[in-house]
Amino acid sequence: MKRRTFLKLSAAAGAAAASAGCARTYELLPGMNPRGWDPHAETEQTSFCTLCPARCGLRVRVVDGHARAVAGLAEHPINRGGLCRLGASALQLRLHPHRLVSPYHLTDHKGVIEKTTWNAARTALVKALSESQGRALVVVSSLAGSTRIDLWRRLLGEIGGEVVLWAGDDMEASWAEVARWTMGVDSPPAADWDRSDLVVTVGLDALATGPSPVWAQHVLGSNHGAQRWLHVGPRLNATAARADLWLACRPGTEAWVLLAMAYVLLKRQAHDAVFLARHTRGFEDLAGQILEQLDPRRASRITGVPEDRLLEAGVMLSTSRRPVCVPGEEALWTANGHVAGWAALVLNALSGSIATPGGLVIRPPLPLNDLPGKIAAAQPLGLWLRRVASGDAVEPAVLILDLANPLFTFSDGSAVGRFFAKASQRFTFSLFADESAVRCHWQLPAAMHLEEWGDCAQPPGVPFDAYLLKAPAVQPRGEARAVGEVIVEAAADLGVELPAASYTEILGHRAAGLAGLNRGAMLGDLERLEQVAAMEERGWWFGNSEGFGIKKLAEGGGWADLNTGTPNWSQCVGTRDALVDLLPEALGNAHLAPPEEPPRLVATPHLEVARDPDLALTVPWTLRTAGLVEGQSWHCWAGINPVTARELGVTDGDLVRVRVPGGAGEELRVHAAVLPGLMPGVVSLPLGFGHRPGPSFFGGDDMRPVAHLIPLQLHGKLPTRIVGGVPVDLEVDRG
Amino acid sequence: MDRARYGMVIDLERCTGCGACETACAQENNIPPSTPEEAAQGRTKSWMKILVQSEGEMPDVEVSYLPRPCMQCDNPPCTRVCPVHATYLSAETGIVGQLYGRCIGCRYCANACPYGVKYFNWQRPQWPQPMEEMLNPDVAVRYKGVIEKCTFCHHRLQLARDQAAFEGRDQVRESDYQPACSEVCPTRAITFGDLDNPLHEVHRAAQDPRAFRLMEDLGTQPKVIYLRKGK
Repeated sequence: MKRRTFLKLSAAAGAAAASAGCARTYELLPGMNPRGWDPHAETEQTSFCTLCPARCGLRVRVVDGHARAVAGLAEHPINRGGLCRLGASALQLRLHPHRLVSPYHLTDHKGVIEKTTWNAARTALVKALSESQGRALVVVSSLAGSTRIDLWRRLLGEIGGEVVLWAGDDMEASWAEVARWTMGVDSPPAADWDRSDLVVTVGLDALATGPSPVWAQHVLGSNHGAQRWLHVGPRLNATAARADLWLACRPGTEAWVLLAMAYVLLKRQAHDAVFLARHTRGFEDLAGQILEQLDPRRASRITGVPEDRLLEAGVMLSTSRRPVCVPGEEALWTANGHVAGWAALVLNALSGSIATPGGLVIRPPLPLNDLPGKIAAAQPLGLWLRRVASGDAVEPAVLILDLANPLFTFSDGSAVGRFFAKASQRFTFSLFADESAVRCHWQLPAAMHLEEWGDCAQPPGVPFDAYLLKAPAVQPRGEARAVGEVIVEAAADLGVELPAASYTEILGHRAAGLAGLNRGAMLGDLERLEQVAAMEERGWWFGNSEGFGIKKLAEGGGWADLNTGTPNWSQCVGTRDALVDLLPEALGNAHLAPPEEPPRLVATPHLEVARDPDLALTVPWTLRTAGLVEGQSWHCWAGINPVTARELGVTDGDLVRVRVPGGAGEELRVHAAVLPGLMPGVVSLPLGFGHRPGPSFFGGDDMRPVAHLIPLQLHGKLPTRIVGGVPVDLEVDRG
Repeated sequence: MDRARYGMVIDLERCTGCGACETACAQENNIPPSTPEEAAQGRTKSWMKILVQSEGEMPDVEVSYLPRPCMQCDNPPCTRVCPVHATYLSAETGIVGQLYGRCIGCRYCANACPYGVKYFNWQRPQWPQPMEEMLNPDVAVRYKGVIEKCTFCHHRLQLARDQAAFEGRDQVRESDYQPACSEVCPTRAITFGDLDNPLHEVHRAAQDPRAFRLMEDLGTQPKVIYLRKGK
């Protein structure tokens, strides 16, 4: 072929290709350009995060029906545009390669599973519930305050059965128990950190794990320089690192650090005598005990905190006007957890920081419209397990898990495992085929928080009244479904009366109850929300002309009243005489019997990444930002102080064996991490590692590693497995 | 459009090391997740990286966090050594850019950068399926063999300019253009804007007596300024 002919042919072929190209529509992604496709159609959708109890507002960028970015919602009163690393990873969770996207049925006991349909699952669920004879049990996680829980309660109220909640409540059981003993209320109070001038965190990593980490960070950032923070605990966590004063104590002795601070407060006569006289009982006896027996010198011997630091902390407390003290898992999940919780409450009472701005806040329920008919009671999983053990509750025949993985996340996974074996029908609505899901007969893919309607009344950890509502930003992935819709369908099949025929309408029905409040405002304009709060604070009457339609509410993200104010004292305290009992009978003399001789080596547990260890470590970028990839520590580890490490002959990265001497628990084989920010003689154990679908620590047996370490007989009076303050042995694994 | 000199002020006394900026940056700029193997070879990429340092012994241990993006130097050593002008200092924005199509992967710039904020793509970036669906359509995915770095999310500046033009404004407002890291920071430790614009918060923050720059003595004149008592 001649060169000229070749060029002519090439030009002709090029022109043909070009004209053909103009005529056709290119597929950018398979299946994404149907007829009527509007290129780059882009919207923003308001939502909120449910990966921890905080409920931060989200802004979801949706391009061509795909969620492309998640950012904090600047107009949201909780997070004000900020997010934590878990919240910022929402899309990775949605698109996780191991996500459950089709319903599966476990066909026999050998573990053979096959794909099934939602219709078959729904039929099986309805049949199991109708034949359960009141022995149905629903376990719900991380959805406190939602209509979804109330729908389960309504369903089981009608057909018989119980609803239990797991939301880290086993770790907070001691705090809840103290609230019952002293104030006669069922749920522990929130703290008004924003208006406090001294925040005392006791074993609580408020800035990293919550209960509302972004709110805590917002408070720290906005009150920078005007607020002091004091941390009590054995580990230099994120909160301790930012605190003005860190009191490093032995695990399980936090209560006596607080009582030493109370001693200084009483000695300086800086306690709130008027509050104590009006709202408490037992003050005189308590003050006598503290002043006679719990002076800082003795407390220093018990806790390992230098006496001058205890005095400094006491002076900090007595010179602050609105201090607030909040305990957390590192203190509460110890054998003396209830004493630590009680001491925290006493410190708040002595400072007059209960039901006042800047103190502990008890928020009465919002007047949402009720669901008609019988409602089953909801209770913490630990409490329910204790009731079963004592014969007060029946073992379940039907077990339903709603975004819960109690085999991994509950401290006593083995106790939950026993009930798994006894329930003849097990259903799970889950994002992953996790430890609990693979033991269920029906593994049903649940929509995640960006994919479904949802609500939350009074998010925990936030001191003002709020009702949050979200619409789905994107379609559920694969065959995943919104669990609320499935419950409503099951209720219809079982003939259970509900106020509306769809989940969305039920949410609208409930939200309409806010219409008569005459306070607060819908979200969407933060400035206006703050103006309304300022008007309310000055006693202005505020007419509420807003219609609480579900669409309008979901657009802004819900409703809030930043000026929640002080509720009636009778709403805060449920004791018979409406007084806070400072020396409850259940406490006995536990506060006067501290552990005088510390063991050589004790364990302290802590959360990493976020409060919900169930989901946190399934997110690749979260793993990386936690330093786990860079540090090559995909597994659990044992933190140890450099001095103690030298004494034991341990170097950083050594494989070590950790076990409880004389206990029936198993051995924990982990790598040692030598950390300067740990009390000498303390072994810190992170929770939430060795989790599916990430690397599995214990191979086929995937319960929380720490659960293997601690034997069952250490339960004591509490319905939890105790970890903090437990004596342990640690040695290098030479094998 | 007016010229600007975009810069960032990071208040280390507010930073809690939470890592939200790292995650938001990875999300915004299509940075793939790392594997343990890549980590073992020191080949992870973090345009925004929080460095943690602890000092002292119990009970006087102190931990400090240092979020480290590209310093966006006014006198950048990386641009001088690039043989193909793939990395450059924009006179219009003050942002040090990287042209991936021009980069030949010689890594001179990565060696010249004293802050270690230029990352080489040793492998083709990969996301586990179907995570590719969440890629940001405004940001190019870098291919194997090129250098990449923090850009102050300059694609957002482009969007902000488009929006300003659409609304008939000739100026980009401070709130119109914020990188992902400063937007997500829950303690508001990161302030971003035009360092030369007295109306911008960052201009005032940069005058703070606590202000310092990393390795100032090298004369690189970073536009990322840190605030901490005692420096």
